[in-house]
Order: sequence, then C-alpha cells, then structure tokens
Amino acid sequence: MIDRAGRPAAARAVKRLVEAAGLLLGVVAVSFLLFSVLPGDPARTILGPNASVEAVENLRRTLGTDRPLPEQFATYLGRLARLDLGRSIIDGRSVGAELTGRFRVSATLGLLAGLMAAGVSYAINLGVFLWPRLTPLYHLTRLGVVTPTYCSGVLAALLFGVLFPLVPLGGYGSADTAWALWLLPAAVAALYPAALMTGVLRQRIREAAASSFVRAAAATGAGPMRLFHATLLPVVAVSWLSVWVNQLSLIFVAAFVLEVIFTIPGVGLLLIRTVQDKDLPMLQGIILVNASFFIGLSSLSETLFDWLDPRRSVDASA
Amino acid sequence: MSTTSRGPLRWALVLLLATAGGWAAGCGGSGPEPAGAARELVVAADNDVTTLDPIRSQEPYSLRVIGQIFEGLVTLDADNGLEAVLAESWSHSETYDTWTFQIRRGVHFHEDDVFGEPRTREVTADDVAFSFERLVSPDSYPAFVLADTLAGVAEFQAGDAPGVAGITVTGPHTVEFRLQQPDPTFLHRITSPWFTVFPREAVEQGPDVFGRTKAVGTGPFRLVSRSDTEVVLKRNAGYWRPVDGDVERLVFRVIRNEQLRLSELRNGRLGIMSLPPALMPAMTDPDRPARNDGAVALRPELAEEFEALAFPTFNSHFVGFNCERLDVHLRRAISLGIDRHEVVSAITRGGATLAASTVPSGLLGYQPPYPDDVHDLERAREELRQSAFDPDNDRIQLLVHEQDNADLLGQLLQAQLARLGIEVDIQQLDYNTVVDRMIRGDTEAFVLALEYVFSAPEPILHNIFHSSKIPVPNFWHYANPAVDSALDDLRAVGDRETANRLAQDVERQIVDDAPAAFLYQSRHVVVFRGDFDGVAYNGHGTPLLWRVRLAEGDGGRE
Repeated sequence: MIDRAGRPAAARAVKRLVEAAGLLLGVVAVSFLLFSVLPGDPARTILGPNASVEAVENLRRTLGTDRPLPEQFATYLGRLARLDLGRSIIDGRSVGAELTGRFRVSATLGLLAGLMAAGVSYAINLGVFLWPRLTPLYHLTRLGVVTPTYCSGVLAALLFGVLFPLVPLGGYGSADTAWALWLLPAAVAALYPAALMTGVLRQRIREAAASSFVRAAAATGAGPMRLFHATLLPVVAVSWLSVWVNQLSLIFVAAFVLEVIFTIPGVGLLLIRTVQDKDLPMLQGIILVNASFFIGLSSLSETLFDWLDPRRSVDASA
Repeated sequence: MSTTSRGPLRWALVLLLATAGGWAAGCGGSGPEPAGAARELVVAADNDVTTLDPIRSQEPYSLRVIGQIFEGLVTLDADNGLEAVLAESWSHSETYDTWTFQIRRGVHFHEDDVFGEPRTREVTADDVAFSFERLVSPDSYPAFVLADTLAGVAEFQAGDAPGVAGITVTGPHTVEFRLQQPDPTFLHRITSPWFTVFPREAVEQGPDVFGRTKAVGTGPFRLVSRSDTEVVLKRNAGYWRPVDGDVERLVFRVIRNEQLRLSELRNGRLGIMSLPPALMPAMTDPDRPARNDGAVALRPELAEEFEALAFPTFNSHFVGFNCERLDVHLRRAISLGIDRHEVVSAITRGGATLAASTVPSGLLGYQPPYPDDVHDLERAREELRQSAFDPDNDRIQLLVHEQDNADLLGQLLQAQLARLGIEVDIQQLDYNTVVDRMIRGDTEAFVLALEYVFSAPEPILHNIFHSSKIPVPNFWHYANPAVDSALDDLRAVGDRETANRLAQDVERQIVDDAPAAFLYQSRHVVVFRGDFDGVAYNGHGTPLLWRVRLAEGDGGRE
C-alpha cells in the first residue's frame, strides 16, 4: 500500500503518530495557558480564605506557582514526560492513579454500550433479513436517533430508579456491584449508536443484496442464514465497523452524561466534581487523558481502515 | 417462512411478560437492600465528602464524618460546654502562655493493618505532637487557627525550622504547648473536629491512602469503606468510654438533590437529613414558628413520623464593607437601613436567628450587645447625609457568589437599600474570586458568611477585627487603635465574666464603626425519624451520633 506521495503504510502510520503527538502538545499548551489565566490561586484554594498572606506565599513557593510562566510550563512538561500528572489540590490524591481508576469505569460503561450497539444492530438486521415481518422493529430503533442521552438517561433513571426501582441510582464501582447494574446505563448510552448502526448496516445490506454475486450465491442454494453471514456480512463489515469506531467517541461522551445521572464514579462524574472544586491539576489531567484517548482512537482507526480496506489508499492516489 | 416466524414472536412475548413481571416486582417497593442492615443509621450528606484527612477538609460534610472517626484533646458537648476527650486533664501557666496536657491512658487507635501485630496501639503524647505539627504544616487548611498562637509555627511554615518549637513532649503522656502570647481561651481554639489526633503510621501511607481509603482515629466509629456516594462506618468495639447510643453501622450517603433526600427519608431509607431553607415552607408548620429550645414544628402529616430540631451553630452572615473605600457614615447608614427581620424570614425561611453583631450568643456565657435588630431608617438617612456618598451620582458595587444564598441576599439588600436611596450594582463571581478581591481590597462591599472554628468570643474578635490581621481575615481592612488595644488587653483576662463584658464593649464599638452589617446566624435544622432518641449537633455542626438510640427492633433502614 502506498499513498499519494508514494510512501508505504508504515510511513503513513508514523506520520499520523507525529501528527497526534503535535496535536496533544497543543492541547497541553492550551490547557496550561487557560488555567494560568483563570482566576483562582491553587495555594489560596488549598489554604482557604483565612490563611495569612505569608502562609499562602510559602505554599506558592513550595508548589512552584510563584515562578515565571515559561518555567512553570517547562516543569509541567518535564513531569508529564515522566507520566506524572501531579496531585489534586483538594485532597492530595495522585491525579494519574485517580484517573486510571475512573477511566476504567468509564471504559467499562463505554465498551459495554459499544458492544450492545453492535449487537443490537447485528441482531435487528439479521432478524429483518430472515423474517421481513420484523421490519417495524427497525423503524422502532429510529427513536434512538431522535432522543438525546440526557433525555433518555433521565427518563430511564426515573423509570427504573425511582418509579420501578430495579436499579440503584448510585453504588456503582464498588467491589460488590453486580455486573447487571451496568446494563441499564449502558443500554441508554447504546441507544443512539445502535439506531445509527442499524440504519447503516441495513442500507449497506440492501445495496449488497441487489448485487449479482449475492444473487449468484442465492442461486447455489445457500440458505438465508448462510447468505447473511458468509456472503453479505464480509462485504459490509468494513463500513459497519467504521461507523462503530466513529460512534465510540460519542458513546464515551454519552457515558459521561450518564455517570452524572446514575452517580457512576467514572471520568464524567469526576469532571463535574473537579470543576465544582476548581481542582486545576485534576482538570488538566482529565483534559489530557481524554484528548489522548480520542486522538489515539482516531489515529488507530485511520490506520486500521487503511489496512482493512485497500481501496482507501487507491482512492487517495487517484 | 410463516412457520419459522412464530418461534421468535413467541420468545418476544415471553420476554415482554418477564419484563412486566420485573416491573410488577418493582412496584412492590422492593428496592435494593444491603445485607446486614441491623441497627443501621443512614445520614444524608448534602454534598460530597471530599476527604477524611483533617488537614485537608474544607467543607462541613467531611468534617461531620471526621467528627465520628477522630477525637482531639477537647471538644464541645451537646450544650457546647467544654468536654475533655483525649486530654485527661490540663494546666496552664499563670500568664496563660504555656498549656500542659495529660493524655488519657489506655486509649487505643482503631484496629488497622498499619500497626502490624497486634493491629493497634495506645495513644501517646508523641501522637498528639505529631498530629498538631501536621495540623499547622504549610499545606494544612486549618493551620490558620494556631498560626498566630502557637510558638514556632511561622518558622516551621517558612521551612526555617524542622519542627514546631512550641510543641514539647515532656513525658509519655504529657505534652506542652508554648504560645506566642497569653491566651486564656486556648482550649477553645482546638475544640473543632479539625484538631484531632491520628497515628503517624496511617499518615505515612501517603495522601492516596490516608483520608481516602484509610482513616484511623480513636473515635466511637471506625471506617469500613468509602466511595463517591457513601461512607460506611461501624461501631468501634474497643472504644475507651461507654456511650448511650446503639448504632452499630453508620452510613453517610451523598444525595445532592433536596427533593430526593426528602423522598428517601419518607421511604424509610434515610434516618437523618438536614433541612435546607428551600424545604422549610414545605415541611414546617407556618402557624407554629421554631421555638427557642430548638424544636421545629413540622406539618401535621409529617409530625406523626418525624421530628425536627434546630441547633445553634457558630457562624455569622453579613454584608462586609471595604473600610478604605466606603466612609463610616455610609457604612452605618447601610447597617441601620437593613431590615434584618425581613432578611431572616425571606432568605433563611426561619432557619436562623437575627444577629446585629458577629459573636454568636451562648459562647462561654456570652450575650451579644444588641439582642434585636438595629434597623432605624431615620438614623440611617441622617448618616447618609453626613456621608461623602452622593445618592444622585454614586453607586455601590456589591460582590456576591454561589454559596450561602449570597445571590438572593444581594438582591434583597439591593431592594432594601434602594428604599434608602442607595443604588447597588450586584456583581456575581465565584466564591474564590470574591475572596481574592476582598483580600486585595478590590471591592466596595461583599456578601459573606464565616463559620467560626473558635468557641470563645475573644479569638473570633481578635482574628477578624485586629488591624494586624489586615488583609486576611480582616477582609474589611478595618483598623481602630482603641479596638486593637482592647483586643490586646483581652488576651490577659482570665475571668470569664470580665472577659465577656469587655468583649461586649468591643462589639459595640465594632457595630458603631460598621466594617460590616451583621445580619443573622444560621441554625442547623435537621429532620429525623420520630422514634430516634439523643439526636444532637454541637456548635461546630458535628453530629454526636454515638449518642443516638434507634427505636427497638428498628435499624433506621427497614
């Protein structure tokens, strides 16, 4: 595989990596600058309104926030290079350790929702393909596209948390949490992507089903089940997968909203608390980790599709 | 095709019925129940419990939990009297500048792995010294309480001394505190849940552990687990003194929404919750106002099952002025022009007592000099005439923030002062920015509330009105040499009656100089199940939950 400039795929991957690193550095610089110009001094936040000016200045010296901005930025970059995200100014916990735990929770919710969306879109399309009578089910999924997560989340919390209390509104993330508790918020997060993916998959399958090779496969006597899995699915899999990867970032945003509604201790809930507490190191950490995740995901999916779908590089060189 | 299609439809029907069955079970009210809920008390926290490390705690929700786990040398009982806890006895030098404490023998820390075998150890004078040194360390939030009192704190905080020179361990169970100046009220500086004792072994686990997943003290309850939404404690089986209460498992559950809190209380899933001003009209009986003994009359439909009490807490709500930018006549005019009765009823809905001066009533027998409002429109107009303020051309800028209903209070004051002819521009900022501008003197007036950590009048007055405290916490940049001198003299007065009388004189002078218009002191109003006994909060707002007795056979959560 070669691109427009005649470079092989490996070189393109390296180029993407460099671009991603540059983008990340930009995020680091902007977030650092933003927090330095925002009102609110970390030393004053730690010591409160009663502390004397001398005590605050002592702490400012210890924290290094009395140094010139370029020097502070260099120190910050140095720490980041050692993967040290600093400590919370509210309770002293390590930002890196905290974010690792939180991200695991958000990722569990996001991945569960992602799998559900993929599963639902697959199951509905298979169902409609085998039994056209089920077509109304496909139309029903369109509801997911028109309902924003903050609406469906609140509705689900009211229905299954308050009116018919099947799930608790809280208690997620502790050691004794039953895995089944995750199903409701994950299902809500999956609503939109499931609807979108179902639509895309259906569209692609209908296009493919009209093509000659499918008619030929059907003529050989292949049953509908075999036709769907062996002939249709491999053809449409790449575009279906690409929609799925695109939806992953949306799923994570939905997961953040749902964490607040269901009090799930993930990055979304942490973000709300952090903004409320004006915990700047934690906020910088959240921005950085999220940016890394989304930039990484985008680069990875680009590389993956280059590999999966050779037409992309052919198109590019055309 | 028609034969195969029946199968999935049948399954869909089964699935639908199963879901309906689940809903029906939900309708029966079988909510999620924890195992082993015997003698369990669930207390609502209105907001996050951010930390259990006393030196980092900045908000009341964590201090209320810290007050169950940790104990200090002395504390306040339910009547706000001094109570000896880890200090068995104490003595002071004749000049009140050296205090010696005998630490109670036989008190052990909660059992924990940090001690190795045998998982606990006795509290010694070294623990007291270690804890107090950490409490005044450079990044400790409550350090300000002792920064100007204990000898050697400034050097320690500046990094010029390895320890605090004023703290000396003189025996295994004896510790001595040497002060910078005489202070007859030293004990009343260290009654809050901040000034507690914790073991070095637990603190050395680091900030990712101590105060987060581990909190080892000597208190009546010990930490079991902590998440973002719940802190679970259980009775400390090895507690050093007998207690009246019978709560075995104590849960603080974070529920931010007040309506949800109320619904959980009514469903029996909460035992105690605070009653915010917003819920007062819906829950209290408008015909029967709160009584002086603290009893709050609930609406008849609630009174059958619940009880409400209002506890006085040490705080002061006011509108402060920058004395360098507003002249004394204008400040007096505003103070005299405010109708405090309207403020108390409109802003706190009865959850506060009117206060025209700042020191709370009842501190060591102290009675404020003005028992009622100082509202006097005639005098206010006269003062306004003498002021340099020109009502036709000048306006006052008032800073408000997101805490303590400051925005609502700002709007009410704007309306009241307009009647006097003073136009007020309200500027809404975040709390930290308001504090920052107050310290810099970059404001004319601000709405603020102070929670007093001191439980005596003298340190409160000295801390916020002495000119040596400009700009913080003397936010008003207030300087009166007569007040300074009276406050300095007070530091040597040991006799309580004399001290209270002199403090009253100082307060009269301060109200006359009007660095602020003091408005009210909020009370901590709580609602709880009517069959509970012994519910009490002290002036620091700490619930004394080890005294609570649940009804027979009732766990607080059914």
